[in-house]
Amino acid sequence: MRPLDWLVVIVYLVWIVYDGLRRSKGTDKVDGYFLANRSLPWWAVGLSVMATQMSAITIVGTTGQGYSTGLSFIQFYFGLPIAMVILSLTVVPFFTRARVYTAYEYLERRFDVRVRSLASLLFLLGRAFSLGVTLAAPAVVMSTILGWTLPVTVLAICVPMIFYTTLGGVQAVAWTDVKQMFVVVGGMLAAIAILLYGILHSVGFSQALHLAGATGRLHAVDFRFDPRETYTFWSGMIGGLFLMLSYFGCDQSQVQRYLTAKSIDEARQSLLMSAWVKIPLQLMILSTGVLVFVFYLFHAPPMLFNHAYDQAVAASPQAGAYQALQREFDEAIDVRRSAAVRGDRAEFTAADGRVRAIRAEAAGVVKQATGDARYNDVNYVFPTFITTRMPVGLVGLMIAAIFAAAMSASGGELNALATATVIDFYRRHFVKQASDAHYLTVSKLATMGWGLLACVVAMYSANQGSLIEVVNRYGSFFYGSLLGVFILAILTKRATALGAFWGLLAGMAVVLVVAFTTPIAFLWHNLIGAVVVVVVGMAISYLQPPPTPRAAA
Amino acid sequence: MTLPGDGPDERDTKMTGTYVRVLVLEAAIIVVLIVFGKLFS
Repeated sequence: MRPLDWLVVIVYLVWIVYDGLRRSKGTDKVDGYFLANRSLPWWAVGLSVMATQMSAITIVGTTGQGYSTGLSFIQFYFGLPIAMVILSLTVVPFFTRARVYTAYEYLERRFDVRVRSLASLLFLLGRAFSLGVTLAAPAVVMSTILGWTLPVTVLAICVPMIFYTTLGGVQAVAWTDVKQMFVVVGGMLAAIAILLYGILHSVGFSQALHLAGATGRLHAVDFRFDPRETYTFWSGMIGGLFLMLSYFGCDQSQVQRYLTAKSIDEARQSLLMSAWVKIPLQLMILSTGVLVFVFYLFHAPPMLFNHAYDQAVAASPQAGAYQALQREFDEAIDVRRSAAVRGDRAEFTAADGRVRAIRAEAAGVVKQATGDARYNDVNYVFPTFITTRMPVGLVGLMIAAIFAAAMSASGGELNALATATVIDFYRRHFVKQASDAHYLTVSKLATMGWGLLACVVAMYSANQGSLIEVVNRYGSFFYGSLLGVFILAILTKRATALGAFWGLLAGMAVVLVVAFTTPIAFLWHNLIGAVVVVVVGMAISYLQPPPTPRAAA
Repeated sequence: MTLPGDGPDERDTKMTGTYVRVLVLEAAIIVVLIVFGKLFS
């Protein structure tokens, strides 16, 4: 990081915070603070929806996945366009007409307060946890790059984000998201240009694709029906569909985004923006990871990208073994480069296998030397490329994009956590009649409180494998069950409050058992959770008298 | 405390054509990915 890069980062962050606050007019009432008075245009809501998902995890983790496994992760999103269409037809008009602040408010109208509170509590627990992970991704990146400690880095990201989200509410979040999307996409395009420039100096474009393809990184679609495989066509299309239905239909952080739209049509259009753009955008980011892999075929890569333990390993009894591996790695890299240039596929594939084996062995040595069994370097690949290979100024832009992505995605989630806390718990259970100013103050305090808690979680979740998978795995513990209870609420008239309540608990319990005792991949947990809730919920409901017409309406 | 907003605009038009186009685009992307993977594997 040179002075110009620092300047870009600082100017960008100051501008983001200033502009977020400047646009937060009308947030002096709870309606404005949580729903922007339902005044936002569809394109701003649509970009905000996408930005809330495109966190720093997406930039750091998805490129890392592209580098290590290729395009197969794209299958995770196959259910998304279908989910967007289904939601546009069902819950979007439903929630908009219901005039709710939170999705869970409707569950009390349909069932009872227990179901509402349980669903909202599940959202709060799950989202607070994943928010911490969302913040951890850029903290990991920045602590490595800047040599800061993790707590200091987390605070450097959290403090500005908590500041503008607390003061500006959902409008500050939404307009910050809009800018973030442009910066992130611009930054990724710049990275792709630099990568292509570096690659095409060594080989032609077609040869580069064949090299990536020879290692299986362009094999994007896997039609095997194996529930143990995490990313297949079927897990993405079925499990992913249920995850996306749950996430966009039942998760307050998403529902709240489209509740801020001016009308039902605009809310629909905002969701359909994701249906059009999400898969191409994710492909672009994954392809960036693949291009980083091809780039490093011709430009010497480090043996491991995560240098957090370099000194510890050098001072350990394993230092000699590590140095020997480094020499082997350098030789294998030379052989691989030579084979890549000549286009010798058999030798290239063998050399790449050797490189991967040495990397795995080196990671094992680091784990042995440091005792950190979770050591990995997937999330360090792209940041390493940024800081060592991109030109001055663009490094600052990319780092600013990672910072901004973390803050924007977290801001939306923070705002949703505060909404559910105040609307579903504080106003519903504790202080039922108070002035708007009182609820607004409590909302700001809740935003700040959740922000501080997320900081603490972030400090403890920084080294848990590929971060994007961590977030999705935690989400899958409860998303399917939440979807199940909304299916009972919206699609059936026979379901009772007792059935919904116990169905929801049963769904959660079954998903936890499946997650910890079977090898079934996490995307399927969403389907399992939803099905268990509906089956158990309906079974219990049929043991009871039908709900009154008012409750079922 | 008031209800959210002054009442949402309930403009609610059918978007069947848009939905179909979204799904056709997704199918096209998947086909391209399959062909691309086979071409360069």
